[in-house]
Amino acid sequence: MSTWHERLGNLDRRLIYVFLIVGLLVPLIRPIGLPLVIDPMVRAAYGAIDALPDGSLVVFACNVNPGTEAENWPSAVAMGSHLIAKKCKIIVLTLYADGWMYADRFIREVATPLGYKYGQDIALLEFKAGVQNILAAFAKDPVGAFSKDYKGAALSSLPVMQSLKTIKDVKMYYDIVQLESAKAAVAMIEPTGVPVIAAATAVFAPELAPYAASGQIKGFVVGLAGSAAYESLINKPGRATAGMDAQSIGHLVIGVCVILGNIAYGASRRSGKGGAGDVH
Amino acid sequence: MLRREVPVAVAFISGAVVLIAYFLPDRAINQFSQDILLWRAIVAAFALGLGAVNLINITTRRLRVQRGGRVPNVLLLVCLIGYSLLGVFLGSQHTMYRYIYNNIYTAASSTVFSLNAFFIASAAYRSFRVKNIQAIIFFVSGFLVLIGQVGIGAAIWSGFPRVAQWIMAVPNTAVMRAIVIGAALGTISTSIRVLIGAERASFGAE
Repeated sequence: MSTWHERLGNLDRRLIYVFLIVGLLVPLIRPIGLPLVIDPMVRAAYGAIDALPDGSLVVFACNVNPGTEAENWPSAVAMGSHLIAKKCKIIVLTLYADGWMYADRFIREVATPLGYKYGQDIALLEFKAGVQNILAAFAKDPVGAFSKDYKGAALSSLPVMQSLKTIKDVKMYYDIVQLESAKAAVAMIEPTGVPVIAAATAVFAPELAPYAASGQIKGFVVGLAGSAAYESLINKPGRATAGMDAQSIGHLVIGVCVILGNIAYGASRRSGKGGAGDVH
Repeated sequence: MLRREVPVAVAFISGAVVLIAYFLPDRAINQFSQDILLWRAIVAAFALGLGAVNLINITTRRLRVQRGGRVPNVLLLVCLIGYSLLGVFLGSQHTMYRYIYNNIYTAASSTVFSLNAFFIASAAYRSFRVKNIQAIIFFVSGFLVLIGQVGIGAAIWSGFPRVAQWIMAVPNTAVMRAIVIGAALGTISTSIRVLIGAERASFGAE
């Protein structure tokens, strides 16, 4: 007959899935109203955008993809709305092939409803492959690096592009991080004196922290938690705020899973039967 | 002979020009460097095409030897070729192209990523064993960051977010800097080897 710690150690994984799905669904249906944590880096990113003079020219690298949409799209909406509230002229580019759909969606669903006109206040550049090289070329000669927008129109025909002559005209570079895009921005854009801010999925937080500590990135927003914090700073609660209770409970379930798994493991070792559920 | 010498020469000239242009404000060298950077975009685009051709080759071979199931392989080929043709002939602005991206690719991709949460929970329960002091440090710091970054941590104890922020800002930053500097030194040494043709693997050598 199996002991309690053997049963606990060999718990059916489907039961763990049920715990998690219930933990995620219940707060989505009935929000708990847990407090939001505002990270200093989110505050720094907010401060950097807020300090921009009205009408500044900003480059927005919209590298969202379907896999990162849940975490990155809310920050694109929140930080993009803040840029629009500051009446910034926005040049959108995308360094990865699947980013332009979201860049286009940003223009249609965020910028246009807030009164931005394509070509006049905002433009989306054509996609070119080669992250590091494209940013290096853009930093050297932003006018020569791209010649068309994503619809094939000549950039010289778009009024928003007239204010871009050299990289010095860009007052901020805002990168939604995908793979090496943040490192490329730090290496190619930041040395020209253009402040860089970033938004990323939570797994990128450890990677971005050293650049923020050195001042090479002025601030960053990571994960759904960062997006929710940004939404609270601009007083526009949205998709991220709505999902934070569920994420809180999800984190708690995973933490409890680790603790329970180790209680079973420790008890099995003490009873001399090896580690229950131990994976070798 | 040419199979090795020409790529080495191209790599050396391209690398040297871009490197010199970084330090010298000479207009001609900077223009040549800019051209090389943009040529790289064209090469990268070719690499995408090469990847697609390679994928088609592998999938058709798997179909011939009946390995890995017929349906997934046929589905892969139909999606790859069909969606590419759609983009080429109708354009990426076409309603059907967008519809497939937004309603099939986005939904499928998001679903696959969402499933990670369940695998992580199961792996956390079954595999993460606190067996030694390193595992204890890993567990405690991971748990504090996990809890400290969300509202439930702040609701339990208001100090959790500060502890999580300290872990991210101090020990994490210190370790990540060491990793980044190590990787940068490795990149520099590999780049020099590629430039002088000493990195034979980059040119197809065994």
